[in-house]
Amino acid sequence: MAHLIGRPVLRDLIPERAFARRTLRTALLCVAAAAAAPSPAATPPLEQAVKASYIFKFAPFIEWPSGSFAAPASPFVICLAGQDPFGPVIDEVVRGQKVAGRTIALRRVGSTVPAGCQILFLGRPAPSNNVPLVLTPGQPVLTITDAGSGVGGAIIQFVMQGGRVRFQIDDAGARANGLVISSKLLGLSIGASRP
Amino acid sequence: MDGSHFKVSVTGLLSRTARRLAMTPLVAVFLSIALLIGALTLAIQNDLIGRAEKLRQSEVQAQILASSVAAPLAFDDDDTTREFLNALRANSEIQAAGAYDVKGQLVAGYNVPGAVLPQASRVAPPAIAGRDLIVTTTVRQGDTVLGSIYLRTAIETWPRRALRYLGIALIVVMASLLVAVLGASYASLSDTHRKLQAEIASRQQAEEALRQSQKMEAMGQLTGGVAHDFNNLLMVASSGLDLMDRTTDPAKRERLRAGIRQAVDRGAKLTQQLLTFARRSPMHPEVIDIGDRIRGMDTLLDRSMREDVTVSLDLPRGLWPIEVDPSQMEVALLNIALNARDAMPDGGTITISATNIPGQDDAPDRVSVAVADTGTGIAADMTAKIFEPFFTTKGVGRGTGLGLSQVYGFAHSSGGEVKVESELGRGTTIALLIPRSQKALPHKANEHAPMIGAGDRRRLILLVEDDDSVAVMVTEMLATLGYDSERAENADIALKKLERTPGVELVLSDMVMPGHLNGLDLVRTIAKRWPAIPTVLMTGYSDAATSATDEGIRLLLKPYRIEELSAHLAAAIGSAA
Repeated sequence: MAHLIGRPVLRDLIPERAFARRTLRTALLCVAAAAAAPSPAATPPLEQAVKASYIFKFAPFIEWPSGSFAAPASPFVICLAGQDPFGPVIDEVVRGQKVAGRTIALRRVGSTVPAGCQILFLGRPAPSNNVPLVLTPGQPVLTITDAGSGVGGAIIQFVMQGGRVRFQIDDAGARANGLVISSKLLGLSIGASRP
Repeated sequence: MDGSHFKVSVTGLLSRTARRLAMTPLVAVFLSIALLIGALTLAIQNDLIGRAEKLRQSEVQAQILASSVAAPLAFDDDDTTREFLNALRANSEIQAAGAYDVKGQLVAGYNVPGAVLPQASRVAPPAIAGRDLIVTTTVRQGDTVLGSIYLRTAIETWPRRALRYLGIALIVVMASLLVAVLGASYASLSDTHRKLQAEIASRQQAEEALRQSQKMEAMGQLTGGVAHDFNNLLMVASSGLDLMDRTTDPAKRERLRAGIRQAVDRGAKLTQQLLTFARRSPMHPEVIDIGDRIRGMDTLLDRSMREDVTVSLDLPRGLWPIEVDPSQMEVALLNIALNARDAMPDGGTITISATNIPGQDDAPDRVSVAVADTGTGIAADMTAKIFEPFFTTKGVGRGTGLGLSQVYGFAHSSGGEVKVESELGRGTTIALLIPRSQKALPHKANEHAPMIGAGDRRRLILLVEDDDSVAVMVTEMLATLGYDSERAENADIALKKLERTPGVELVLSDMVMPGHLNGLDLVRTIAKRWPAIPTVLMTGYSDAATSATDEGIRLLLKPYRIEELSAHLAAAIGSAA
């Protein structure tokens, strides 16, 4: 009789879903506590780490139009606008990684959105600057926001579901920006039917 | 069939099969071995190809799986990953499958009992563990490595593998069996063939023996009559000589002398025919004039009949030549005549006639030799049987039933046939139909040459003869013919005399003599040492005569008349001169 091999420890502890991942396994108990009582003001570091890793991992599932890079050797640019919820975690995630043969450059851009970003994470606006970010529509930029940040209109939006980090994808918005999102990724989007 | 019976028959079958197999030629054994090696090579090759194919299949499957689980693996959707993996369970060949994250930790997977799914995996080249093939592949999207896949597949499930080998084994066994059976049957066939050839050879010998015994039977029938006849002839000669001593009347003496002469001539002719007849020889066809032959048998035929049976010959001139063994021909005619005689217990006439029968349509020209009697005849249902060997209607000790079977055998071996016409109470006609020969009759020497004298001067002849009375008579004959003669008792003395005496112009020698050399050896020696001296051999023994004529030696058959002696001597001297 075959049996599924999962992670029995986690399953015993948290019946609904486990979201402990990779290097963060040591913080299991802490994660469980955070998931049980989420707070928008103080997002647990594990959740932020997962999101940081996802931001990087969206890249291979998405196709940017050929003209979106200035030069063949141009880096793949990930921009973080507004407040940076990740800190050094995201630097760790992208260090030494490549996307489609390009090195990854991480830019924290504050409230000014520069040209040349391939991925733009829109964080909570800084308290000092209440002017909301204005995005130029039609640019080949994958915009990502967090559901709790109060910023709308992004292509991908992180949501918490059952204590896990999931995401919603606005495929029409992506297409409007000239991006092609892999059906594999779309299949994981909340609201999409499972493959 | 009860148990023991069955066992016996099975044992018999097995031993028979074993014996046949033992006789199977080496070729069949080699074939079987070659077949076995071929099948084995094929099986191994098949296995190798199967493995390579399996490897490709597994790699493709792993890659499909890797592509499917890329997103769930990247975004920690374990349920989806597990769903993809579970879909593989439909394939019973997969022993274990697992998806691992980028750090190599197991995310989801399953294994069948007995197979192990490692908790951590590293991407490695395909490996074979026991009967399983392990394939690992990297899960990547674009350039980004997202994890790895582990797939353990049974190369071939045991039942399938066993079935495949069983199939090959079955084919090999059947083919080997077929080869063995063919080989065995070939062996038994060649054995039978060998036996058959031995059988044919022994039958040929038996046939030869049968022919001789058929002839001997005819001889046996003749002997009584011939002995009686000889006594009569001797009686004539003996009483004639007695009477000649007692009378001085020239006319009476001349009558008596003629009577003796006639008796002696008849005796000579009879023995000559008997000797020719009895000669043991294989079938030796010659082109003959059948009329002459039958006329030459007259004394023999007369002597073998009773007084109340008349033999009449109807032999026209101009009969076509036929090619037969003359001795067998005579035996056949005699056998028919003897049967005709026995069919006429109250006497009658036997008519021997010969006619040319021109061919019609496909039938060739043939010569018919018919023997007709005026006897009891043969019932219609018996006519087919009379030629069967050992079929006889005569009493015990009177016939062997071989006579007419010889006639049948002779006719068929000569390319002809036998026809029987019979009417009960009226008589029987048995006809031999022999095909006409296209060959010409051999030239025959003139038997009755005129007496030739020795010529102007007397020539010296060396006579070699061991029998004194014959020597005296021949010396007298030579003197009468005008030759001087010297006598030697045997070949050795003759050679010494030749060395000492010059002027010998011819050697006349007996064939069978005591001493180191016989007449034939003597003639050969003379031909070597004195090639200028001609030789003439004389003999009464026909076997010896045959070998001499084969060598081209001049031969006088005893008893001979003075005219024959004269002709031979003249011819020999004439050819040497």
